[in-house]
Amino acid sequence: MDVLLDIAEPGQTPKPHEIRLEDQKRVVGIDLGTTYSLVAAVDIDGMPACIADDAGSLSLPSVVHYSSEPGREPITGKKALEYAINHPDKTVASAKRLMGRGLEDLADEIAHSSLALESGEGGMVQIAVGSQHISPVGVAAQILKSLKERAQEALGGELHGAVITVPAYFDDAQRQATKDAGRLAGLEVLRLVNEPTAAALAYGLDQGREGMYAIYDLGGGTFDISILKLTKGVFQVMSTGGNSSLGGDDFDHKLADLFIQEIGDNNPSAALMQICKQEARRVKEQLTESEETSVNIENPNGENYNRTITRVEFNDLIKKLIRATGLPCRRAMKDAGLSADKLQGVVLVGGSTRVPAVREFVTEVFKQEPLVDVDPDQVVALGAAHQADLLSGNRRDGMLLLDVTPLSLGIETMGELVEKIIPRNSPIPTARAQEFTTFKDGQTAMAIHVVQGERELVSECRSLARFELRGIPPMTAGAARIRVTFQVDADGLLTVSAHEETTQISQSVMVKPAYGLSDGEIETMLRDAIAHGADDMMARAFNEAKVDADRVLAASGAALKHDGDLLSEKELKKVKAAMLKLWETTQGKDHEAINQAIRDLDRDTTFFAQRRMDRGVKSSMMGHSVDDFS
Amino acid sequence: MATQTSPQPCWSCRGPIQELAPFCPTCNIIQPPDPTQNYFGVFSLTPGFNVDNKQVETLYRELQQQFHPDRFATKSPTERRYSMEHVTRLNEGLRTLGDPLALAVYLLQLFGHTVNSESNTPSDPEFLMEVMELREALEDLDLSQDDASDSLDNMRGDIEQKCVKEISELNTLFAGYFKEKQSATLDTVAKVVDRLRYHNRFLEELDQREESLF
Repeated sequence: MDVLLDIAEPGQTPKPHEIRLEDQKRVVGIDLGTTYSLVAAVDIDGMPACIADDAGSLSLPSVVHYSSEPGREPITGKKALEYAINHPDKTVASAKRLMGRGLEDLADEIAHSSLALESGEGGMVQIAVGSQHISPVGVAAQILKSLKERAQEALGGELHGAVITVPAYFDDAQRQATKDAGRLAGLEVLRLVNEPTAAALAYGLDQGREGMYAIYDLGGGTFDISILKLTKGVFQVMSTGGNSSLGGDDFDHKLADLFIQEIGDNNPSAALMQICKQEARRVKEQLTESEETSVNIENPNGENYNRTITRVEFNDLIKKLIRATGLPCRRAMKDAGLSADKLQGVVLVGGSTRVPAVREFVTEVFKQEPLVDVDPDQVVALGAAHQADLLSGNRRDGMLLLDVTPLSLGIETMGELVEKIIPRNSPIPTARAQEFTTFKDGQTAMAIHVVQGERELVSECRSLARFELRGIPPMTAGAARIRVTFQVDADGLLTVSAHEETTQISQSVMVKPAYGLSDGEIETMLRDAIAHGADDMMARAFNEAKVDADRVLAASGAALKHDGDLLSEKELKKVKAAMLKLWETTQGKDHEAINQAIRDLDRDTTFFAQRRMDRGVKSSMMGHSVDDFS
Repeated sequence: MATQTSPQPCWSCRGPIQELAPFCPTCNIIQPPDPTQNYFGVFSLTPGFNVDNKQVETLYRELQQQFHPDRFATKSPTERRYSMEHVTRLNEGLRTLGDPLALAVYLLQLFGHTVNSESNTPSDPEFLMEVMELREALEDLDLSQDDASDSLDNMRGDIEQKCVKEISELNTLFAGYFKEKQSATLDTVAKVVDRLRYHNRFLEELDQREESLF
């Protein structure tokens, strides 16, 4: 029985002990990239490392091949890539560019895609493969599942959770879609972390480095720029910007367009386009090392195509794309309130920063040579693993990430104008409220349209959600006071609530924008997709109950240690018995039993709590004269 | 500020908690933030307009280390919620204390002075004239000219100077108010706040024009 008193030192885990590998929570960081994805974990010494597949390869091509026969498991990664040429319509690559997007956002994408893109649920894009309709979220979930299995094999058991990275410039829809993909893959998403922030963490900028750093992140499909301030292990994002549809893939497209134009095929087949794209990527990579290279394309329905291309020609093709990264960089520096000469360093992230013309441009914009000493392909995953480790409570070294919201959030007002409620680069989590009023006499409802973006016109911003606040009591125009509150959590996800304040009838509406997938649909998909769906849910409920039980046991133990003398021996026995009962339930598997034991302990300690309060009042009154309380 | 301490029960162990204590002295668990505490209280600062930004930032980082949701990721939902509430308030506090305009408006609210926050047309006729002249100058700018960027910079320089002057005016006015508590001072403050708000908005507009140049 005495054990129970020992487990309750305030602020300590029930049984203090050395950290052993088997006690470490199995958590990973995942870089869900446009072209490649990686998974990393931190070892016992706190060093993050990427996890390789059976063949020893670290990166998983973000490609999923769907069979036309329904019921067949999709194929992911390198094998799927092999299907890309012969089955381009059934092989999904760069799905990240489609995440949280509608057809109308993707005009450029459709031009280069060999997939049948169509409008799906909630206006979100989906892919038709034979009779199946696949959402980009579903594709991302396949990739995540494959990485999860790889990690579980390497770490020897079920994962407790994962940190998934997203481009800093992802909007709310894209973030929500990424989180949904994680849930769909059966992962406990501990946090969405911005890619440049993760990179900064991994870069070892923590090792005594202080000051302002710029992270220039050009990946396969997205561009991000972040300015971070480092002070004593606190990584504070000052500003962020970018373009969520600009990346190395666009370099490939430019080259592929050139090849197709020179081949002279006005109506190229999907197979030819696929061959040109793969050759374009090879040529791009080759031109990173050499000044020129040869292009060889076997045209399945015509003459073979051969030419030599120089780096100068390639640079010319992509010049405009690279220049387009300049404005976000300047804007981010301005938002952070500094000029290029105040930066301690510029860090390059993402495979596309290997392109020499990109490096030259970065040097020009920031007026200094960029830092390149960590592999730009791995750095994001390594940082994510680090953050997962911090979040899992495996370690406490005082390192902390403070991030911001990348885009302004607002609502539509009269004249289709946007009223900003949370400006871009606000530290998260945050909450802000704004009051609005009715503009007609007797108006009883008000439409609330939530948008995200920097422009003044609603039509130029991204629409996140529409809802209607009903039941406003009829009043003269301008008399109602409708308070709209925006709350952004630590993942950068938004919740909106609204209520009318002048009358007793106060109404509150919560909006969690759902991007094509409702919670119900996700649950159905979860059930279908994961054989052990139900087990997962039970495990989750149990874990939650156990966290609660641990807290209650620690609290009760602390109370006994502090004020145990207020109890008679009999009473003490009763409380201890209830605690022991609760502790026993945590050793089982039944979350309901735990919750019941918590309620029982609660009931058995009510009188104890009352006596402790009385003592608290007495002690707080000591040393005061009666006048102090008048 | 009240110094009286009335013990509240801890939500978890139900032990007594002194007012404003963020953690329970018995079981060490996080407590909900006190909604009556103002931002100066949150950062343990003496209320005033003359805030030391360096000090605020240092305190901000220290408080983040204690309260950030990352520190509570494995804790119960209630603890996570309280952590988020604390940090949301910290972030709002940092923004308010670090921005002279937001700080002036906040102080006016604390002193119970009504703030006409969203009026776009200044009530002061003299200032109205200035506003109209500024507008005209901006409309007359030809952004297609090569020196458009320089013209914008000149205009920005002028307005930034005005802002600096207004902030120093506010500083003097608030210092006076804290000494003498004359409510007429707050009326003058509100007028200066109107001007500062307008000039800030104008600077934002200049930024947007400038971005359209690239």
